[in-house]
Amino acid sequence: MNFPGIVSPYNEDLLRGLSGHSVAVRVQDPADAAAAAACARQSGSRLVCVLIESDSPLSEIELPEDSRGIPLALAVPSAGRFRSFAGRLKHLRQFNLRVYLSCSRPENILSLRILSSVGIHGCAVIERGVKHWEEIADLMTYAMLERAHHASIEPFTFIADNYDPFSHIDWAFFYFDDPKSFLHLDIEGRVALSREDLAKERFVARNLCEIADPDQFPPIQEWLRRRREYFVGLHPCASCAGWKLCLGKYETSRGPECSAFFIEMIEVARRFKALRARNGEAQIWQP
Amino acid sequence: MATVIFKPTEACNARCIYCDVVHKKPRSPATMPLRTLELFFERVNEFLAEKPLEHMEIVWHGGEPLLLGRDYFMKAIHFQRTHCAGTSDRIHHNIQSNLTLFSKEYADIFRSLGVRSLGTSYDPMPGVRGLGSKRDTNAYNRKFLDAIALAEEEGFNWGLIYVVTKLSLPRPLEIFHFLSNLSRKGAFTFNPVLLYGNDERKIGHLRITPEEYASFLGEIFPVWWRDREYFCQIDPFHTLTQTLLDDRRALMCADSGTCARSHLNVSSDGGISQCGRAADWGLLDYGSIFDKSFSRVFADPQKELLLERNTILPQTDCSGCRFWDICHGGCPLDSWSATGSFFHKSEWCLAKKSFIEKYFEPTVGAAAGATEHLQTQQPCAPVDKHSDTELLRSAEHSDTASLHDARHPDTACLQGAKQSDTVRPHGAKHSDTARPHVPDHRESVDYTWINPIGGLGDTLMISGVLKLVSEKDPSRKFNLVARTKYGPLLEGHPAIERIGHPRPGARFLSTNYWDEEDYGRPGSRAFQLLARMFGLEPPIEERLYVPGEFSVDPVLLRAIPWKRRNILFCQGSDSPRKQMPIEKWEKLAGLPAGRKIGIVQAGNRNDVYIRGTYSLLGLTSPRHLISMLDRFDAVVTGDNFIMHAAHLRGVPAVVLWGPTDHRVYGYSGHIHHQAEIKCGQPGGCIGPGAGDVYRTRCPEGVAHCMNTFDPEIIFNSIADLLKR
Repeated sequence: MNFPGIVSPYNEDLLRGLSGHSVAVRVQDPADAAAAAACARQSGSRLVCVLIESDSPLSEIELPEDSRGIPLALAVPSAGRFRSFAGRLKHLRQFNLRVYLSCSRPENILSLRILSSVGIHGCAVIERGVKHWEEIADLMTYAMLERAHHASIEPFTFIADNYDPFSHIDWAFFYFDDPKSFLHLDIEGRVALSREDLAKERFVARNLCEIADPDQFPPIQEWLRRRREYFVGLHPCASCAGWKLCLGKYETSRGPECSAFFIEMIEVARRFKALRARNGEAQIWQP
Repeated sequence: MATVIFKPTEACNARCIYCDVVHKKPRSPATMPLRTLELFFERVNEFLAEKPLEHMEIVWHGGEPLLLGRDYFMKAIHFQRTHCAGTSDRIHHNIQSNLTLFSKEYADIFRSLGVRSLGTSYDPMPGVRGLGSKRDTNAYNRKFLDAIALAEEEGFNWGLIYVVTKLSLPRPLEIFHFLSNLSRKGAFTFNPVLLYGNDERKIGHLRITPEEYASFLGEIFPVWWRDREYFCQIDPFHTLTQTLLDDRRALMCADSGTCARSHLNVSSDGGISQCGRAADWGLLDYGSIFDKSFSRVFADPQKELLLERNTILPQTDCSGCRFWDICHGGCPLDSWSATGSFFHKSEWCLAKKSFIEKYFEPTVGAAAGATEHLQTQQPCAPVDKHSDTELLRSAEHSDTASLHDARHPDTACLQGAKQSDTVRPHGAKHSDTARPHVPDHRESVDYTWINPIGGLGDTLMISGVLKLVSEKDPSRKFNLVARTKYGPLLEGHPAIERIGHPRPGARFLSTNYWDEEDYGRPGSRAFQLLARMFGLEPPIEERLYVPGEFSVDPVLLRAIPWKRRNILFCQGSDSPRKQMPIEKWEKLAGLPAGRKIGIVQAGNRNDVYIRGTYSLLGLTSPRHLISMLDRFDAVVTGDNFIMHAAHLRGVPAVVLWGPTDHRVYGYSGHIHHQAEIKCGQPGGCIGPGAGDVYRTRCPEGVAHCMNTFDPEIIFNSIADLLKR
C-alpha cells in the first residue's frame, strides 16, 4: 500500500511536516483556498485538492479568481437559490471544481442533477441513514445513462467507468473515508481514519510518525478487515446481490431499499458499459 | 491425462461435519513417509516413461495437505527433480486444501510446483466447517478469508466447492450471492452432500434428496442464467450449459462413464484405489505402490467392472434415458452405496434429470432449442483396456474433489451422440436401444456447424481431428460453414455432411483452440486442444488428413527443372513476424551451389521471390501443393501451411520458428530451429489477445527473432536430412 493521502487543516506548521505526502487541505473560507494550496505545494506536498467545508449554500459562495486551476472540493449544505448564481455559471465552470451535496435532503439530489446539466461537476454524498433511495436511483441513472452532455456526478461516474462484474469497487475515497486513500489530521496533528472519527475525536495515532508502515499499522489493518467480518458473521449484507458496489457501507440502515438501489446500480452500470462512447471527454480531478 | 488423487496425509486441522476422513478409521501411517513419497515419484516417472504421450496430474489432497509443512513439499520437489528428470514437463500439480494454513511461503512452493489455481471448500454456516475438535467456525472463516485474499494477492486463481446440505435448503439465493460476493474471480461448484455407511446415524440430519438438490439449484438457476456473463464460473450451471447448449462435452468424473481409465488414488500408506471417495469408503482397492506400477493398476480387472456399466446400464436402469450421454448412470460408488453393486444408476441421476427438465429447459429451452439433440444412445461397447490415447481426465465428485480437473470432454460413450433435431418427449422411453437410431439427414438433421477459424495449417489439423472423430464413430457428422479458403481442402471429408450456410439458431463450434484455457500451458499442443474441442480425449495421435486423391498437375511437373536432389522453400506466412528475412533465404539458396540440388519456391502470388530458386509462386492451389510435396527430398519452411502439409505427406522438413513455438505446433521427425526471443515478449508476440499484430511486421527491425538464424546452420540441417 502506498502511504495514504493526508487530509489536513490549513495550518502552515502542519503542512510543512507533510512534505512528500499527497495532501488535501481543509479550509472553511473559499478565500483561503489559494493560500492553502500554495502552502501545501511549497512544503513539498502533492496537492490532491483543497476541501472547502462551508456552511453557506453554493449560491452565496464567491470563488476567488486566484483559486482558478486549483482542484477544489466544495462541500456545501445546499445549492441555494439557482437564480442567484445562474448568471455566474460560466464563471463557475472555469474552476476545477466539484460540488459535494448531501443526499439526505431531497432538494440536494435535484440540485446535483441541475448542476450536472449546466456543467458543474458534483458528488452525491450518500450518508448512512439516507432515506431517499428512489430519488438517488434516478440521479444515478441520469449520471450514468443520460446521453445529453452533462458534467459528472460522483461516485456514479467513477462506478460506471470502473464497473467490473468480477471485482469489488470501493468508492469511499470520494468522501475521503477510506484509510487506504486518506488519513485525517486534526489541528494538533493527531490521526483519524475517517471524517466521522475525526469529528468524534477517535484518533489512532498522536501523529503521522507513529504510522511508519500503513500496511502493518493495526488500526488500518483492522479497518481493512472489517469487510471480512461481514462474511465471518454471515451478515445479511454479505448475501446481498448489491454487495459488490455497496460493500456494507449502509449496514446500519440496511433494508430492501438500499439493496434494491445497489442492484439497480449494477444493472445500470452494465448498460452504461455497453452504451458509453469514449470520445475524449475533459477530465476533472478526482481525489 | 491420468489423474492421481494424492493423499499423503489424513491429518487435518479442521473437522468438517460431512468429511469422510473425519469419520473413517485412520490409516497407518497417517502421513506418508518420505521413502514412500520418493517411491511415488519413481512410479510416476515409470508410468510416464512407458507412455511418452501421456501426462499426469497430481492432485494434492488429504486430510489437509498444508499440514505436511514446507520441508515435505520441498522434498517432493526434490524427488520429482531427481526421479522424473525426463518426464517432469508432463507432470502437473494441483492442490485441494482448506487453505487455512496458506501463507506466502506456500505460495512460493506452489509456484515451484507449477500450481496456478487452488481448489478449496467452504461453508460459512456455524457448525459445518471449523477448526479443531470443537469445530470453531469463526476461526476457520477468518483464516479462510485471509487466505483467499492472500492467494489473490499472490496471483493464484482459486475455486471452491460448496456442499449442499439440509441446512442450505432454505436459502439458495442467499448462499449463491454470498459465494458470488466472496469469490469475485474465483469459481465455485455446488455438490450435494453424500452420506455413506454410518453417516446416516451421525449426520443424517444433513441428508438431502435428489429432488431437494434439484430444487435448490432450480431456485438459483434463473438468476444465474439471466446474468451469467457477469458471474464467475459457477457449476453445475456453466458446465451443463456448455454441454447441452454449446455442444462442448465437459463432464465431471462421476458423469463421464470413464473414470476407470483416468483416475487413481494414492493414500498415505501407499495404497492405491480408484479415487479419493473409494479410498475413504474402503472400496476398489488396487494394491499398493510398493508392489504395482500405475500401468498395472490401470489394467486391473476391477476397472473393467466400472467400464462394464457402460454396456449394462443403457439396457437396464438407464434404458431409454435421453440424458445417458451426459450422465452415464452417475458415480458408480453411489450405486454401490445404495445397492452394494456398481451396476445401477446413481440416485443423483434423478437430481440431474429433474433439474434439467424442471428448471434448465424451461428457462433456456425456448431460446436455444436447448437439449432436444439429446436422445437415447446406442449402448457403448466396453472400451478396450486403457491405452495411451484413452486415459481421460476428470474430477472427483464430492466435497473431497478438486476443481482443477472438474471438466473434460467425454469421449467414450459420446461417440454415438447424434446432434439431431429429432425431438423426443421428455422421459420418452426407447424400446429399441439395440438398434442405432439413424436420422434422416436430408430432412431432420442439422448437425453442429464448424465455424473454421485460422489458417490453412489449422485446417489440416481440423481435418485430421475430424478424421479421428469419424474413425471412432462414423455416424458423428458436422456441417462446415462455407468459406472460400477451407472448402476445397475439406470437401468429401467423412465427418462433414454439408458445406454451406447455417440456418438461424444453428449450433456452432468454432476452432479457436488458442482461446482454450490450456493453450500456452507447458506441454499443451494445438492439435491436442483441437481434439479435445471435438470431444476426443488427449493425448491422441497427431495424424493430419486431406480427403480425396492427391493428383499433381503434369504440366507443372514437367516445367520444373528437377535435379538429383530437390528442396522446396516456403518463405511466406500470413504473419510477417513468422518470416525469415528474404536476404537470409537468398543466402541459404546460394549455399547448395554446385551440389546438384534444385531449389523450388512455392507460396502465394504475393510472396517475395527468393533469388536463386525456381518459383512456383501463385501457380499452385493448396491441394496441388500438398499433392506434389512428395516429389521433394526436403522442405524448408517457417511455421505455415507447408509445415503441416509436410507432416501430412511424410516429407522431411527443416522448420524455422520465431514467435511461435515448435513444442506447440511442430511435429516430431522435422528438424526445428527455434530462434531465441530477446525482445520484451519471451512467450512470443503472436498469441491470444494479440490478434491485431498477427499481420504486422515485427517492430524490432534487425533484432527480429527470425533474423537471428544462420543460413549455414540451416543448410547443415538440410544436408543432414538429405543424408537420411
